[in-house]
Amino acid sequence: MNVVQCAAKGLREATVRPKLVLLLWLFNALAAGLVYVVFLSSFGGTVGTSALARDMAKKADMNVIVEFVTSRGGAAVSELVLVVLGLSLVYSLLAIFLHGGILQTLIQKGGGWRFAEVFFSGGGRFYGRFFRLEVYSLVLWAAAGLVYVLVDAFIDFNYRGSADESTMAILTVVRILLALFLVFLIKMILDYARILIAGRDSRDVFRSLFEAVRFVFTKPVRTFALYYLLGVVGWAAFAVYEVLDSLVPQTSALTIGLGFLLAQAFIAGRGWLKVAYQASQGRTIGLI
Amino acid sequence: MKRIPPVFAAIFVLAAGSLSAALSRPVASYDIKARLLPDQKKVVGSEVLTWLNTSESPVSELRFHLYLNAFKNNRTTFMKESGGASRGFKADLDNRGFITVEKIRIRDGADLTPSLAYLQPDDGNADDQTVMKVDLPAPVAPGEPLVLAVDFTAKLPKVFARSGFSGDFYMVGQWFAKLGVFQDGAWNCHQYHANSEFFSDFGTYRVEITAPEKFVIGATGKRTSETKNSDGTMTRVYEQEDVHDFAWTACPDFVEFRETYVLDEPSVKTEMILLVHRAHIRQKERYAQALRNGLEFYSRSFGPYPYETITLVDPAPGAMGAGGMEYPTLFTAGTTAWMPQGIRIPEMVTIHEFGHNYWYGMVASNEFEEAWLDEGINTYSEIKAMSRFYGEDRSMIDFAGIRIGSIAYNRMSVLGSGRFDPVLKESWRYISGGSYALNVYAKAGLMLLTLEKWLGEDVMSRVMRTYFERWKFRHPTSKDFIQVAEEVSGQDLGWFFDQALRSPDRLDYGVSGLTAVEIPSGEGVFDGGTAAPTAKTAEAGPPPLEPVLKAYRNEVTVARYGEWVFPQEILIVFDDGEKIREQWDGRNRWTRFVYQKTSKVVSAEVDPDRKMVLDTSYANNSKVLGLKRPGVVKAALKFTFWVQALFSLLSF
Repeated sequence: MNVVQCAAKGLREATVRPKLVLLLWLFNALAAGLVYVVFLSSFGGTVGTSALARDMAKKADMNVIVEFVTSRGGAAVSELVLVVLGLSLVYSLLAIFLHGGILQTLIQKGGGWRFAEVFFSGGGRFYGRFFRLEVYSLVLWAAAGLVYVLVDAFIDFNYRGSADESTMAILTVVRILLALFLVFLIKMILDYARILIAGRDSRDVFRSLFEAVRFVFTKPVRTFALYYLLGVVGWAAFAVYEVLDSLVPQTSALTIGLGFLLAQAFIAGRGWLKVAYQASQGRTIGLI
Repeated sequence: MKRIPPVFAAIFVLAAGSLSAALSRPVASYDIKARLLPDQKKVVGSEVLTWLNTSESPVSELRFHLYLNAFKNNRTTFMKESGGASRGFKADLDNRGFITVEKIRIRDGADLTPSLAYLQPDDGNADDQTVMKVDLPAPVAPGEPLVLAVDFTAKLPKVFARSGFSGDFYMVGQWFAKLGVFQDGAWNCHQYHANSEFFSDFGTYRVEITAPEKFVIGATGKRTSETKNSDGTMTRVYEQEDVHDFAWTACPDFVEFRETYVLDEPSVKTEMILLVHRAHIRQKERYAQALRNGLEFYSRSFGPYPYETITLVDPAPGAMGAGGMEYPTLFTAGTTAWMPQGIRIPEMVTIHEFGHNYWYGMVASNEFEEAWLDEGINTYSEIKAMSRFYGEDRSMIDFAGIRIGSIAYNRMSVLGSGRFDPVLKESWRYISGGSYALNVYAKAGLMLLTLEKWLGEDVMSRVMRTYFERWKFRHPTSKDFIQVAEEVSGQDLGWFFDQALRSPDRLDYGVSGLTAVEIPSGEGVFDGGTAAPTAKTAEAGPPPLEPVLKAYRNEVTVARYGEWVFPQEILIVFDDGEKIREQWDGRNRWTRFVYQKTSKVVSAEVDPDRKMVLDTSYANNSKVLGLKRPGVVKAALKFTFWVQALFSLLSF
């Protein structure tokens, strides 16, 4: 099965599992719900029952943003950032559970199990192993960091004090792209490691991680092509969302509600894409 | 000291500035010969200074600014105050700057060098050598000129705090021994501080600059000659009357563009000279258009630009420490090769720095002591110019769906500040560089915008034109500006300026309460022992001919949250569409307006026309009854969406 077929198969597998996608969206929305409450309270408190609050659905007023950002000496924004950072950490821990649920759902064949039983049992069953995987992955993150530092030092050594702004701008982009490449590489390796652990029900987490690294580097064209092909699907979904969102003039409760539904559809789409990733990667490695 | 008879003195002074075209009284004129030594990063120079004692006191000592000495060691006043960093750039300790006065003498007369001493009039810091004093063998009498010859060497720092070199780029500012201003019987000659700029007398400058031929040169004034030398250098001569400083720049990578700018009303004809670094060549038209906009706006708003040239210098990449600085008829702007069109930093800097030719260049206030008079007035002018040419709500940023206007941009810094300093203060006495910047730039600019909205645009326009016309080529103070504002507006504006300039107080008014309570129909016993008709009795009686209308007691409470007292206008809107505008003198902490009507109040807003741009909160300016807030919900949902996307991205 070639890369495109793998990707197509994965997307199909995700599409036929709406409950799984819905559950992933639900977890995401519930976690973010707290942010909504904090923001509404903080931002709403700044604009109060003023005409600014009345008019802002129709017209963006920079003064509102300025006032919010500077309110209470910037404390409102600091609190919001803290909440977002804290919840990001919590959600990262939750995602370890979700990964287990996704893989168990994809691996489980027949048996008349109910979806919820499969998902939650998978989440619980693999939590410890996937958590250890995250810890072991620190080795990979350190290696990636070292690569980045070396490349950065090389660039710095050769171009320090350069007056060529275009080259410096390009080099900044190169640095960003390198950082993103390394981040996505490790995330891809971890995807395969989880599939190896779940597909074989293996408790040897470190060995699975090692095998995942070996697999990615022995089949780089296949693994990278699949990863970035699905990545393109994700960006295409985002572009579609942006276009649709811009077509809805969100100036009334109804249209704001419509905009909200569009946004949530996109977030659900992110879950769908994750399931597709795992399904197609599982096929690539031959375990799903 | 060589005394010159008054008749010859008059001839000499007139010769220093052309009689026919002189706009100012030349007090300190310089004839300088300067040679750039690129290998040593030095400028070797000799200056002939002609100074006229315009005071009524005899003067027996002279004081000079030696600005470059601010970068001589790490214990100068500038370095102590700045911590070795200015405008986001750090001083390069291996490439310090300084100026050495090798010899100073009265021309054809006494050598004053032995009496040379350094003074520290502001802080007594013995390590600071930015003010030099020499004693004269005999006092210069009032009305008499004095001619001095000074030999000096300026070692340029790596670009820092406006001046210096970066690679082959040279921005040569504050580079020669420059006389202070003799004023009110004493020298006004402050040390170079981290938060201060400059102050000097008008005069005529003639400067010969010799530099390797490969350099493209730009300078204050008009180039009057150009001579190739046998040693591979070229000598260019620049001359300018009616200015109080001279700066120049050199770089082989400049591309020079010249364009004659002509404006019919008022009549302006000047040569725009753009020295754009090769790396930024694609930004040239942005600079050019911004400069045209600046010339048009300032000429039409305040008075015609009078000089024959205006030179824009685009600092080399890596030399932005020299960017965004004004000198007479020459200024430095700043951009990058990749600067997006919608981020209007090049336009803003160009218009702002060009504007300083008016507020600093011609109206030459003391930047050490009353910096708001140039920076604040110029920020006000820049806000108006930027809003006019680029749109009030997007004049600063119009990029990727984000729009920020100059007013909002300046409000941002004022709103986010602590309140420690007033606008009017000696520059080096602010609690921090940030406090200096926000007060003399943003707060002062917004203060004048508030004044404009209070007086009306037409009156304010006349205030500014009168101030410019009356005080150009002189040294006005805050008192002079206030006097012009009061005279033109016909109002006593002491209450405004006392609060706006001299106090760090806050301007904040708001609606603190808004209620509409139904007035119950009368029940119970009233005076005279008669029972009031109740709802029941009303039902029992004959049906009314007209339907009984409900009545409401509407209360609007407005409050003064800040210390500033400012007369207020309040707009009150009722549910039948009626609008009432109330006036309040704003003196008490609060006041209440009560209306008994058959309609309910819907909203109330203080300052509905947003005259008080310095008001620290627009959000509390209004209240709306029964408000549903879909806009707030929309913002919260949008923010939540981006957090959801972040969660998704982080976790999967």
